[in-house]
Amino acid sequence: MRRIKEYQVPLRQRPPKTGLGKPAVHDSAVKHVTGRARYVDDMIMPPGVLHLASGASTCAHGKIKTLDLAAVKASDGVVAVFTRADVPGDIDVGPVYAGDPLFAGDTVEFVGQQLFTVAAHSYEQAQRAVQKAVVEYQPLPAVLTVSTALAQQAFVLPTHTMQSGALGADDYRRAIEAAPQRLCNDVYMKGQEHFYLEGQVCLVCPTEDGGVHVHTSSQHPTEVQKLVAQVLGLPIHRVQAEVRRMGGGFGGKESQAGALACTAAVVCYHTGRAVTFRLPRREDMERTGKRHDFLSRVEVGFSERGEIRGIDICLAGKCGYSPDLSEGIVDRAMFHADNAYYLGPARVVGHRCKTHTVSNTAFRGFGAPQGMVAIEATLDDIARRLGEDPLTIRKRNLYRPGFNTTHYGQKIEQHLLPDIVGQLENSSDYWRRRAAVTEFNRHNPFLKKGLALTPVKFGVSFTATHLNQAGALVHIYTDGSLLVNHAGTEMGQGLYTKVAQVVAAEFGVGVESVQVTATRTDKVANTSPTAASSGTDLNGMAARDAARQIKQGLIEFASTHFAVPADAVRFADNRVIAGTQAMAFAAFVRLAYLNRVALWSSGFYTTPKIHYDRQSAKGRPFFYFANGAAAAEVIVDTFTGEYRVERVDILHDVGRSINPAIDIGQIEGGFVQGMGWLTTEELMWDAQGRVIANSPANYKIPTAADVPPVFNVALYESANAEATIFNSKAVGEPPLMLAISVWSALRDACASVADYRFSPPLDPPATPERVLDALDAARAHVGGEAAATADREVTK
Amino acid sequence: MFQGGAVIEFLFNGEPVTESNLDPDLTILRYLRTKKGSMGTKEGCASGDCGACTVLVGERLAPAADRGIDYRAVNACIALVGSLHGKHLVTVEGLAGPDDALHPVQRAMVDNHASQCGFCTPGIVMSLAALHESAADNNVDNVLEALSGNLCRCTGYRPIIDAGLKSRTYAGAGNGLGIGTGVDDSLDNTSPNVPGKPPGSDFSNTSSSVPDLAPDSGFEKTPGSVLDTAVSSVLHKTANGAGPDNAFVKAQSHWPEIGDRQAPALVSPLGRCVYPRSERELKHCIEAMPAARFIAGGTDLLLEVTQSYRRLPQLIGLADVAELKTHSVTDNVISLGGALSYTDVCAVLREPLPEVVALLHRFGSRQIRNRGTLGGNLANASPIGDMPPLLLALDAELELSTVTARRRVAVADFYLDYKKTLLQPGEYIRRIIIPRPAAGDFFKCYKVSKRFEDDISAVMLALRWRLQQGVITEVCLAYGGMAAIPKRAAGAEAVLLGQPLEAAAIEQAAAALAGDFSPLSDVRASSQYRLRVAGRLLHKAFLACRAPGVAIDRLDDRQYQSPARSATQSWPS
Repeated sequence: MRRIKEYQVPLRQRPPKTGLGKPAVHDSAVKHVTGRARYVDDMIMPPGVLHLASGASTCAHGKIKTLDLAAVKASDGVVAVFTRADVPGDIDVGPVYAGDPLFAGDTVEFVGQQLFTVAAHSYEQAQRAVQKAVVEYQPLPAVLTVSTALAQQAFVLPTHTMQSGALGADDYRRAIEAAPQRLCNDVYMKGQEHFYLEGQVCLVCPTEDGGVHVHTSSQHPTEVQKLVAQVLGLPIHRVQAEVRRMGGGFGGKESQAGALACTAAVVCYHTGRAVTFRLPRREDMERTGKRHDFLSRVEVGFSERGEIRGIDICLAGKCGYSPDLSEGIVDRAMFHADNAYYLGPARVVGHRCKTHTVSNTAFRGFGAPQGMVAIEATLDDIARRLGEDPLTIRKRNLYRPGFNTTHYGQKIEQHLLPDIVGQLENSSDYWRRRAAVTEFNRHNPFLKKGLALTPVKFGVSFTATHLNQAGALVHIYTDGSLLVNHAGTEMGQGLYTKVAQVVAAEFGVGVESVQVTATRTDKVANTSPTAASSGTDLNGMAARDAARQIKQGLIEFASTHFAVPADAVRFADNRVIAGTQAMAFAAFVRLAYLNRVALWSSGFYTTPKIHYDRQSAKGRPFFYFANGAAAAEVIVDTFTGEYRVERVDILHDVGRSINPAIDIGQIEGGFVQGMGWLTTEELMWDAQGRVIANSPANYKIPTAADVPPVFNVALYESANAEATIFNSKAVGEPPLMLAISVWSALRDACASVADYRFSPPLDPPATPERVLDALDAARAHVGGEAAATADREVTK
Repeated sequence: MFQGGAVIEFLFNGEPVTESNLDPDLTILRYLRTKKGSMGTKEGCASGDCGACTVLVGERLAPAADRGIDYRAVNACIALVGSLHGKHLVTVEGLAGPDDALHPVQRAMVDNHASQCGFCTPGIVMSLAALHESAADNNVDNVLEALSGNLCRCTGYRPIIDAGLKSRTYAGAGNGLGIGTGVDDSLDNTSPNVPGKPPGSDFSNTSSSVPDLAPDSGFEKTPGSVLDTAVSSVLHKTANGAGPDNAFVKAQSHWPEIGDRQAPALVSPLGRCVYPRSERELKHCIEAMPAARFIAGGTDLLLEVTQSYRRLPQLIGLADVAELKTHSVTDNVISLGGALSYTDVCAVLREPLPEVVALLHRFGSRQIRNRGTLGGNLANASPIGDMPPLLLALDAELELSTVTARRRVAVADFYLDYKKTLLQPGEYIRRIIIPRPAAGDFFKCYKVSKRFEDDISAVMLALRWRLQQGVITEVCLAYGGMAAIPKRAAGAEAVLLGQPLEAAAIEQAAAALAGDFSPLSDVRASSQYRLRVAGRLLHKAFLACRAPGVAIDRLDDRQYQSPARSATQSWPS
């Protein structure tokens, strides 16, 4: 059993850390800090294990003229080389829709597409061999940008439209035209590299049944299992996938781990040997999908008070060469194009652009961040037009009673944001600091400060309704120790810890009594991906269901055995209490075993209430919403566009927190990751469609020094009105979008040079170069106005 | 023919290890993971940019003494096993004692909820351990500096910073003896590990000047001593002088076993990697291995191995050549040995050239500065190095040496073209000689990059001008990132020379930059941005010179505050 207690102070001196609502430490924390936590590449490799490296396309779109692998085969240490012809079963590994061949055929569709794979005795030998391939291409015209794709109507999936009122009606158009004020904007936001610290990796071992056992770093073991079975032409039960932990996922290991495992499985199938496949960082960055670039176009009509009267929003996501998960991602962008605001008559159109680039994929937020940037940019623009503070305009547009129906027909039932924003306004001292920032900017020509307070409302549930299910398995052994397995995977988010807390609470034992072991498809079947922030909501409930079933049997037994009514049996403080009698939990469990009571059970959960009809684009796709708000202050160097985030205040709604330490960790980590997306992380592609931001040397995620020196994070604890586990709320994705406050504050600083009457374009990521451009645009606007005034005076 | 011992000896987590027949280009990371089965050290990028593979390399500064081990954090992915002879390699597995007696840094990390996925954690623990084991304060600046080469994608760093700030409040498993370099530039000429000081000299003198890091002093700092029994037992052992049985403690009894044989080498069928200890040995090596490549810190060279999978069969290491690690500072000139690491260089330049030290804090990361050398950076001739523009602006010279001859060349003449220098085969950079700016010289340097820490400059400007009666009588504007080589802006300099220092002249000089440079657009910045910023940095320097009170550099001055409520404080129930 783990000895977590050793690293904590005695209970009497600190609140107990193990119950529900307590900051229990991450179940692997001690293993992390001692280096004992094992990741796939740390496993003891079976004798004769083969190492893979894959050759990839260097052409964005073209026909393969020559694929000469003779030198590859002859290279030192090479055992065999495999291509498309060696795949025994289905070639396509697309997760939802077809379109992702495991190996390219005659045509390549992006730089980085897998052509062949080499198995060698060592990692280095495999890498050196790959370099010896001779490949020639007949280039074909390549679509590399969203604008070209839009112009050519090149889409991976059909366009989808959501609209207040009936689809096809023009209420929104009339509302915009009738509004006293109108404006339009375009924002092009670049994608984001996941940069999980552990790259994509798997280890595939042959089984005696002619199947394979797959150790994978994946958020979706069931999908890996299913795809490997398909590719090998085997029934699913011959394949097991196992995930103990990932070194970070963030969505990048939802669908992207599949192809890697399938490639290794093909080699395992042919050689009968264990096979490991780990992507070097550069290849990981070139060959796996990222957050989608999005182009947003907004036309909005609003009142003289800045209230939105009607809006037309177009969102075009850069999906890459295949659909992957883009249906759901662009949908989620559309579902969040309102963020926290009542839009009135609205139309939201979502395009899934096909480009000859790597197929973009899930990334924390799953499209929602891009939808929110579009509307937050618009609210800033409205405020500048009217000469109002953006916070004033934001508050006037928040959903509220009477103004509570979204453009997809779901009613907002709980209005937490007016209170959250109000509390944060006070705790962050927004208005006094607003005055101080304005004063600072008036007196300082070289440094400019910016301030912004932005809200987040994030819909929780998979929008693909069937995925909202989970299973769990709980065992109690005769010494009173408990073992839990469930459908969710651990990628650092603390899911195993929270589920252990849930089960421990059900039996009234300490969390150290509960061991959660690796997620395996042969323990809990047909799992959904650990994604959409749903891990604890789904698996916590499934585990509780399993625990309650066992408990039911135990209660019946205790009731009979101790001759007390069932409702007199309680589990608390490591004891079982039956009326006036009490017994240590372990002793009671042993007694139950001797009396032939079942001590293990499965559990199952499905999310209630949710539905969405794609035909009418109406429904209730989300069980509930998680809310939050952040206030950010920045300072900008006007010589270079460099900047610092000086202070951030966050108030975030996690319902009743199961584990406040883990929840705060998610909020802080999500915020900084979002800040990276919107500031220093810049994906760059060359004219041939190659990613040139392909290593941490040229793709810059935040470091410790980028953390705001004042960083106040507080939980807005208010029980979830829906019956979730412990009435908590999902916390994985929502905080990422709190970082929009930083982007908005940078724009605020740039707007200051135009006396806040001009909203300079600042496409994310707001690198120093783009901030300098925005400053120059604001300066030019002032210059232009001055010139116009001078002209008017002359003509008088 | 020069041979050298075909075996190396070092300590690995406190235990002696002898290695032979390893490939000369084997990195420490691959050694750990493929030869030792020591899997705690992770590969995140294999290019020295993420810090997941951070380990400590301890070097005994005075073999005759029993104190004074300098532990520095390095990236195991771009450091050679061959460089370890006579040193102590400490990995994450070596920090805790038996029975999970965690090192204070480990305990602070656990208590502050500072790991999520855990993959970066071993590297982070090691970087913080380097600080903890050093004499430097664990204040915010030093903690951030210690973490400058460690990426974490999960936590947002706040709990990690807090763990770094609090580690000394967890008494215990420090080495009690380490006098690491630490993370500030607090080295001075009285510290035992001053670069170039012959080992052993003045040692007993200097050790007393180091703040006492006796383990029990940390115990006294523990607020309220709210520690449970497991921890107390660790303290007890430490207080008794035995210490927890971790790598640092074990090493003390094993250091004498490490031989001081000369020029240890790793030899395999592939080739040889040899680390001469003196310049005389170095020359023997050059004669014996004429085709060998020099390796100093290796922070760039080893990318050929880890990124391109090339082989480096013949290597001569410069990092342990005593003569190349000396320095001197006089009233007029600073002389730096070619194999001094950036960390050492910072220590030397702290007083004479504080502007350069401030800039070097944004150069690479802590791990890179511990390993990378000034000589290596210059010889490598990368267009993106930050030091060449500085040296150009300061009119520095280089002393180059072959087996038979020495020569001096101006830095301005050293660079021929992209990745091309004056260096002949077998010639190495012996010393860098920097004239100190004269009274009346105005010297300033600016680095512009997307990220403050560990990023390559989009534009780098080092500028020096001399004013006499308000007129510019000497001027040097040296830019990095603007051309294939670090280059002076001849046209802009011509505009300024002989002019009074006024805004109009600066304006004209900035305009002239367009004639001096045609910068590239690349992953770091566009051509237009580079040109625009190159000019604006001139304005910035002008203001800094003419109106030193005006706040223009405040971006580098920040005060981190632990949040009012951190993860270990009281929680709502």
